[in-house]
Amino acid sequence: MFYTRVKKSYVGLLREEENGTRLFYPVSYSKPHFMNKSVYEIWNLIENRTEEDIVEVMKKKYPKVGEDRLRKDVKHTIAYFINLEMVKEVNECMEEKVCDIRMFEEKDFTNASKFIMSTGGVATDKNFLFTSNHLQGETFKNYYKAINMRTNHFHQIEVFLNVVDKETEENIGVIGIYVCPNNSVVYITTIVLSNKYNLESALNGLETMLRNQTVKEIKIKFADDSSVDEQLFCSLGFKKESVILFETINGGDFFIYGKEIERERVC
Amino acid sequence: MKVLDHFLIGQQICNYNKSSIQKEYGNLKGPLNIMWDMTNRCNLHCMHCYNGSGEEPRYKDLSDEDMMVIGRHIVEAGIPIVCFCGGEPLLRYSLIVRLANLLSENGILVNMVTNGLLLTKERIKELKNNGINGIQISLDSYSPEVHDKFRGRTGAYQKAMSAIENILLSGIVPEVTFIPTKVNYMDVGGVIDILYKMGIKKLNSMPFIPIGRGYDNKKKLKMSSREQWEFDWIIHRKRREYMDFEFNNGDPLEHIYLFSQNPYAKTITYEIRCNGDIVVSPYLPFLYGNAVESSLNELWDAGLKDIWRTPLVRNASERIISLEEIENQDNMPWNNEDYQMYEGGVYDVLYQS
Repeated sequence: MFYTRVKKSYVGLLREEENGTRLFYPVSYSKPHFMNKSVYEIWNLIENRTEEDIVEVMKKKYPKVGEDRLRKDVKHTIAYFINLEMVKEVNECMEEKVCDIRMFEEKDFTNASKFIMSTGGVATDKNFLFTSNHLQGETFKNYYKAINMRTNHFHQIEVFLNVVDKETEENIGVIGIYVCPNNSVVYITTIVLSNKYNLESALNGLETMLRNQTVKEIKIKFADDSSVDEQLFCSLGFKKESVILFETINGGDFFIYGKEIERERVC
Repeated sequence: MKVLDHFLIGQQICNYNKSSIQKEYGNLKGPLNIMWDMTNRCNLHCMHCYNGSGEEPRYKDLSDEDMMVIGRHIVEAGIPIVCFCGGEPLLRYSLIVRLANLLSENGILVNMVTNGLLLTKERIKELKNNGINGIQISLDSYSPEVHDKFRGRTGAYQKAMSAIENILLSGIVPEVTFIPTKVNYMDVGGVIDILYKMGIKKLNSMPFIPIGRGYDNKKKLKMSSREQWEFDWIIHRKRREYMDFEFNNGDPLEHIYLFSQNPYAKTITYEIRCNGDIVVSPYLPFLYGNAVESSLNELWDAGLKDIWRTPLVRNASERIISLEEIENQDNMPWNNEDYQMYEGGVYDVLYQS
């Protein structure tokens, strides 16, 4: 969960008082409040960051202070400001960028590979990572080497697409798809996004592209021990279609989720 | 027990182990196949031609007798598959017949590439009788206008279609090739329709590579990523429509990837230019000796077998990730900017035609 300061939610914080505190008046509760130095420091860090991000920054700055103590301070401070309506949780709509899906050119494989490798194959609070169940460690690195990505793309084993921030034209993700021989179903086989809140926009962009090619359904196959949030996909219109027993690398089950592509979109 | 033995042996034969095959490449005493340019002259002027063939050749043809010397070197080296390329090989028709005869009599599979302009029924018969096994013809569109424009000559389409029909009548199924570019990519569906109706159930393709004349024309020819996407989807739909049709898309970089990643592989393929120079890869500017001046076995033992592991070639191959790097080399192939790697020296070679 990301947190950010609410604009124009207070008056004050203009000066440091003699005892190191700072005076402010929350708009929501117009009585004077005072922030001490620690709270002020944490307040300044609350800008599109998670609790964990802020704790990490504080740990680096105060290596001698116990982590539990820092964690508690950060947690309580955030809660305090949420109560004063000076900090809000950042939801998907607020953070989501409008994404464009672009086909790969020959020159894109090198950068895409670097982008994927930079995740180390590990999902974090910030990014979104979905790859095939068996790709871990060295197999992950080998699979996403630029020349292997290109070879797979060339032979339509996995077709890669860039996710681009429409406003900045920055590459913010990579999607890989497999087109079933009937051309009606496409499996998503790779999703790597620098910000997980772009998932919906990225999938919308993909849907639009595929609708133009008469694809009827997008599917995705999760292993039962995958770290991917299946509920998240359900919230994006995917439905659980089937279970394939005992086929994951660890002998577990695969779940197939599918979403029909709408013929007419309601905006 | 006998049944079990057969079962196990059958499995050993049938199991294709890519890793083992790649290791076997380390035991080669010569290449698996070669392309051999009969000439750099051509009776067409294709927009995308990677070696710039045409009426004004860049490289001088060898005499027929020197070409026969190379043919004998190929026999001596035991190279299993040879493809006559060019330019237009049929501009040297009588030589082709002699060479095909020489090579096929010695167990070598001989194929050829042609634009079909000079291919008559009689010639097909004679070529077939003298050992030509496969014939490759390019078809760039179902529209005569588009094909002719691409090939630089009115009537090229009619001749190509006529050649395909005549090859079929001779009992050979021609290998038809389509190179997608901005000019013709939308026509691939129509080409597949035509071929399928003729009973040809395969179309070969590979991406347009902007080298040679192709480099000069790249703005007109190079597809955008959207056009490439549209092209791929035409192929998807055609595969669905004709379930028994094979669209064989060849990756021109595959051999380069092999060598940049495989520490064992000897040189599995190379090209012999019309002047006898050995071209390590058609897409890189490296030469190794001359097939008239030295036997192929001599060149192999002198270093051709491990040419991909020399620092210069290795570094070049490791830099190649995509066609982007091929297009942007400091020294371009087929442009008189080659490095001659033979006999220890590395120097730029300038050829006079």
